[in-house]
Amino acid sequence: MPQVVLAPQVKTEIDRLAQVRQVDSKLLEEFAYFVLEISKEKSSKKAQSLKTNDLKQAIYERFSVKDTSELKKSGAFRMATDGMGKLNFRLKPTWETLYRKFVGILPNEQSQEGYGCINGIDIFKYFKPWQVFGLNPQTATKNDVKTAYYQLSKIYHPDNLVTGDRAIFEEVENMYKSIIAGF
Amino acid sequence: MNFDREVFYIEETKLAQALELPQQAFDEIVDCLQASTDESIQIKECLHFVVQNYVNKQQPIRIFSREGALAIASYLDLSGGATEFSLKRVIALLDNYRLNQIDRRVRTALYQNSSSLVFRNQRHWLSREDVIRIFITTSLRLQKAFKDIQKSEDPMRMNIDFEYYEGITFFSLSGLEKLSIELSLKLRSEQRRDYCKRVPTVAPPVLKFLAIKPSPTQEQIRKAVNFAKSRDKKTCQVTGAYRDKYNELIELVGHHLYDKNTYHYLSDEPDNILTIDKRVHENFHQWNGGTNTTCTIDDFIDYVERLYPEKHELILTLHNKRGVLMIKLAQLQGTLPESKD
Repeated sequence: MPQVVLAPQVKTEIDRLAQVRQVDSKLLEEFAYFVLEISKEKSSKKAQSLKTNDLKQAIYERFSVKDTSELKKSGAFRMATDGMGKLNFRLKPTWETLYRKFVGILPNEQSQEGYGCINGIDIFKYFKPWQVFGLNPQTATKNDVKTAYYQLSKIYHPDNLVTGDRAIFEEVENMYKSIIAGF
Repeated sequence: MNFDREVFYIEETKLAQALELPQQAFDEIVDCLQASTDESIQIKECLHFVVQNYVNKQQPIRIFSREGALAIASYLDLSGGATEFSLKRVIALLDNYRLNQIDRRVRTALYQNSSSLVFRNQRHWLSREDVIRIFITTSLRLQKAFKDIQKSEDPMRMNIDFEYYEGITFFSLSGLEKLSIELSLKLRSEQRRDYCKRVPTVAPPVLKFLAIKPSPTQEQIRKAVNFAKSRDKKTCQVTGAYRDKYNELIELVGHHLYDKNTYHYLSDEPDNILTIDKRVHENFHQWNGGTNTTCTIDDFIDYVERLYPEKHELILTLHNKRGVLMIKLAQLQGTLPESKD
């Protein structure tokens, strides 16, 4: 017996799909339970945060250097971090910041939820516009980007008295302007 | 001796060191290979090496081409005269020379095309036009690279990696680094890929230097020009002409041997200024490709040698000035990456 319960909206959708597509509704229900079980398992597995050494190794690899001393001298690193201010390499948060910017999403920050998180991305920590807009960069058209942006704008625009948020809207707007420049 | 330094650039002392041979033994091997009648091992002047100079008639100082270095290494390998380690050192030496050549080209491109460099919002920015010239590419190719980056998982961020300022697109150093990665991976030509790959290594110290070294003011330049004119006794150093009662039309100007736009940090340096007749000045710049074309003391020496070959004293003076200016350039460029060889 499944440990999770299907929401009424899901059941309604299953019935609708079964009727329209002429598919067995039990099959769809089984599939829905399967998806829910997996997501439950995923959320129950709390991802471990990377150790400082792992963070360092990932950064070294990104800039093709052997150690921190070489990293500080690396021209590519100096260029990439121009404007980031003075970095304190003794602190783990510094390495986490560099990882977020140059490597990818930290394992313990995957599928984040809460303030500033859109589509699992904390927009104040990561610049991942395609994921935030829920689009595939290789296939998305200019119109797709615009549509996704307008949808998010409706939610986060400061004029929206219920869900509006200036800080989030500005980040979303910056993401939109950045990727639309590529069309 | 005139020879193509892009082809012949490997110094014999360094090649001998890499092969772990004393200079004399190395010379003997080269002499022997040069004199050999066996085509498979013979090395030839102008193909494998050129003679840069002679200490005396029997002792030439040779400069080798890549082919020459590999021919000697290959002969020593076959004859058992070289260890595997020394052969690896020759390959490393050749790689080093190759990298230094690329770095030199990148550095020159940066010097000549960083006039738009500005510091805004805690970042250094270069105009799109300058970036195109630094990567020695076209507007279309850069546009494609930018579009590809924007459609990747790690796009450039507006106002961080690129920005629009007064109708012009600017790239920050982080944007430049992203472009460098993109171009070094996607360009068709391996040579071009290698060039773009070296930009992030060479650019930071050069740009830092250009950003922190203030440009002399117009007043400072004017003072330096006046000083140079007095030093040259208000006489054209090429033609000997000067303005007097009978030559009222003569107009003297201070010519910047290293042009004042590209080498702005030398623009108020009296040693970099030569008093010449305005007509000679205009003629030189026309000969050099226009006033917008960058020039160095080498261009001026070339010009004088071709148009005024009888001016031996001037040519000698210019060569001496060249030495002085090279030292000053080296001092000013103290923050540049060290040569690796």
